[in-house]
Amino acid sequence: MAQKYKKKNPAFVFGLIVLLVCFLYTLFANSIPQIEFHPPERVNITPDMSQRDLVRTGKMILNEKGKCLLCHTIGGGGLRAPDLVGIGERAETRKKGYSSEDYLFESLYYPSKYVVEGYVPSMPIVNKPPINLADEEIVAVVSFLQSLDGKVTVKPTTKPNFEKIGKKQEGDGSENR
Amino acid sequence: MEVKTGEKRTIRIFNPFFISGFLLVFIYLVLKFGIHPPIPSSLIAMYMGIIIFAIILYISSSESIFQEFLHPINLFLTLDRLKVPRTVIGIFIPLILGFWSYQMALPKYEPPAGLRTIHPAPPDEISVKDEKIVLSKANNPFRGDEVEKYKKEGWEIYFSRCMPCHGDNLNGNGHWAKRINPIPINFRDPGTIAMMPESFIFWRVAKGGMGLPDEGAPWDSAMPVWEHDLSAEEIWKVVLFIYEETGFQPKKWQ
Amino acid sequence: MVDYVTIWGISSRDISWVFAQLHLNLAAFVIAVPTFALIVEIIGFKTGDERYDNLAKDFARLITISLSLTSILGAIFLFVIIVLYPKFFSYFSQIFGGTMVFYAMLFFGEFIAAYLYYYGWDRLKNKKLLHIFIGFFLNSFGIAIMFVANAWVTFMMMPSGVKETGELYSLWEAINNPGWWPLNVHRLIANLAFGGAIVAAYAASNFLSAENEKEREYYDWMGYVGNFIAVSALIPLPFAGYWFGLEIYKYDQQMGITLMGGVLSWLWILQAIIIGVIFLGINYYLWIGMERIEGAERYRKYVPALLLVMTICFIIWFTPHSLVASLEEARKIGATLHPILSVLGIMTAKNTVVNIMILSTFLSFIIYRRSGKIPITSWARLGNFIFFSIIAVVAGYIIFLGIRGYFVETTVRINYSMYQVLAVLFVFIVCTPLDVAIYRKSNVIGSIKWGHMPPRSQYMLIVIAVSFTWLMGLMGFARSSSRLNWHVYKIMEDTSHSAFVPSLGYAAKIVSLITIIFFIMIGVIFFLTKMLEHRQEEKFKFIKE
Repeated sequence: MAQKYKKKNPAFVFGLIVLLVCFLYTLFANSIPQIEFHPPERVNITPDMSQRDLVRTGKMILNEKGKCLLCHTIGGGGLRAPDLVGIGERAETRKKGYSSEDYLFESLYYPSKYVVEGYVPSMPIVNKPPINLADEEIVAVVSFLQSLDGKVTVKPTTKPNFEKIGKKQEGDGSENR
Repeated sequence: MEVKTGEKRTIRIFNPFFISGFLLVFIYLVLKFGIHPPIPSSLIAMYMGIIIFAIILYISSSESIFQEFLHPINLFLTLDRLKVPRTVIGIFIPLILGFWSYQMALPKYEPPAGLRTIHPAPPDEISVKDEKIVLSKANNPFRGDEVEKYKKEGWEIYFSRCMPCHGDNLNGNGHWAKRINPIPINFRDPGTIAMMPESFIFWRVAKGGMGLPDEGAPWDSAMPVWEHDLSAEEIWKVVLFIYEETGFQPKKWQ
Repeated sequence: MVDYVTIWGISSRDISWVFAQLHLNLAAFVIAVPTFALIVEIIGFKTGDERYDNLAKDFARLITISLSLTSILGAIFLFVIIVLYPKFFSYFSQIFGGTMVFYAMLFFGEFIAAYLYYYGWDRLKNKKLLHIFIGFFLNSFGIAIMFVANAWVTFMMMPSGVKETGELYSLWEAINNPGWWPLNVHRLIANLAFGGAIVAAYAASNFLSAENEKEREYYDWMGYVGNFIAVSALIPLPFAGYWFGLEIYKYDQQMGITLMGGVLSWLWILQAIIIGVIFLGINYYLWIGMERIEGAERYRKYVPALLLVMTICFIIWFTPHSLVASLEEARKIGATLHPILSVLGIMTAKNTVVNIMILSTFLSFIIYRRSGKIPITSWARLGNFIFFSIIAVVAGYIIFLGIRGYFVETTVRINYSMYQVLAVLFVFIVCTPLDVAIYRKSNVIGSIKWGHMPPRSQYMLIVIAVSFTWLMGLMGFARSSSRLNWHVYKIMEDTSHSAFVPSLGYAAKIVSLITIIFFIMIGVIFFLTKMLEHRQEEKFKFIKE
């Protein structure tokens, strides 16, 4: 039963299917929220900044460049990492002999030194890549954290007390940036 | 394709063409009106896309079903006495598609659906009638031995002030709720007051929608500011009533 | 020296993106096809069925041309990187310069082996073992090439063996970084799936242009084999991907979160849709294939049930956790998350349905296999009872774990997904031999009438191939984007204009462009292969005899 077939060129159908499938996927991809990630810009912190501006800058870093809210929450339970509501107040008394400033600096430079009960140490060191915050940016973050129910004690010119919280590590990201 | 002479011209009522059409309409109606709260239309569109895809796959996976499915279409396209409806549909389909494209291309003035923080961080302290209240430390002064008495007082305030919107059953379904945008909070939903400390609710009642920080979108709330009409004590009593009536325990500040 | 060069104002990133992905697609094809050729050749050698030998040769015919095209694209890609990213390339060659030379040598070997393999086919007809040995070499070269390139790619994601300043202290550690082996395995399997799908599309296009019954028969069969390879490789693929993801999380949690929950989270919804389409398409092809087997009508009644299960699974599989609502709709939903969607949108539901989908595909395949046969083994009834009991129990177990997953803590739930996977693997390992044993003695009531397929089945093969290609492009985007604004994560920052991660919509356009160009190239390869074929008129000699 050797049937005769008309010779057909499948290129047209083939091309049509390729275009149609690509079109449908692209259509869907364009119908959902379009999020772009932009590399963080260097935040400008000047020594004569007012406290209010410093806190604001800190909040901005927390939201964007620091990517803190990937894990932390501010009011909302703290699924991956501790909730930061009222951290300013808690920081004042959390670690014996540590001022709020010392405690917060330690938590940022050496996140695994003191781990809140119920969580595992998983926070990256923020002055190293990929977060790579500069020292003055960390000061801004600390000022914002203190502003959450606590008293803001840091100024733009504050230097962390490295003798207390541990020697600052050599060869960190802040130098080869 | 043409209908050969002698081919059957009648169509069974259970033809796959009609069944699938009926099925699609039925599923669409269920998705659109059968689920509460409603699913976003973009998601319904995606669901319908998948279902249409699945139905096409089913119909075309068997030659006999496929031919039966095509049968009414073939008849419709070829029978002489259906010339009029055929022409009408032939004119209307491009028109509908054109109108649809026009609608899609029209510029819209709707604000983008921004992400709204449902439970924004409250300020550290607020002042109500010149009295400073530190929210993270404030506790309900009426929690004690006489809870029942204060709950009754809170009940009276609730029904005179809050009930029209939040409903007599505390489920956000009051008389005015339907006309408020966004709808009032349902206190019986475990995702609302049960997740928050009492002083958070106190803050929300006292300062209302206008008192929300930027990320909470104060322009998107119809909650009145109650601090002008109610004293701090009265607000605490209402808060007590809401928790006691729903049976939820307030969270503690972490 | 400048850090970045832009030509004609076109984004350097987009240029290198397109060339890298095209090179990758072709390379995957070129590595997969020799593998099939060798396997099919060995089957043919063992069984003595000449049909297999011809199929293997048909595969091998595709190798030489695609290999040339791949190396041309690779060279262009290298050129693009050197010209457009001079600073990056100089750093990269400091670290991997040695391996680059090795890579070029491997390519040389690959070329020689490929030519020997294809052109020696007829000459070594009587020395089949030697020929298979050459095929083995060809495959080793191909896989080695891929492993070397994988080391470069994973080094950029998870640099090891270098100091924080970027100086190299151990080349081996740089190569053997945490992502290397997972990616090696993942790509090896994915290449097979992808290559199978492309070969099936090649067969489909030949089927559609077939001039006689014999050709139809042959290409129908070839499409079936290609599709079968694609399915077999697709099923373990998610597990390899899971391993890769796990290593990413272990290396840098932030990178893992960015990939799964951050900027790229919507990408996985799109991925879910494509995988759903592929799964449904594969099942459809099997169901429609049952039409050409006499006796398959008995199983026809199960198709609607399977389709229903798969559709429900598909819908749950892609339901997003957070949703796109217009302002009006968001207000109607109120302040909290949508109760139904937040239930369907989480991981435990998705793990469950994907495993059920895999099981359904397995069942589709089983009924396809059984279509034309009736077992006459004495214990067939009992065997079947055990067979379907196992599947029912496992399906029940998977659903049970899925529902329980809502009520337990995260740490426990992660293990559940592992149990579900193991349960499905258990079905494969136990039920496949059982099925073979039951049907060891059977009456054949209808053989497969190859060639009796409607064209739409072949269209579906093409849809599957395009979906695979598109998915590969999308996953390439995901892997590259997980580095965010780093050339080499944490070591070398991308400071160019296009350091940002583009939106999914934009990426989809580029991926579509790549897919279209790729299929044009595949068209060229198919066309040239046909030209080659015409010079070898003896092709269908075995059928005429």
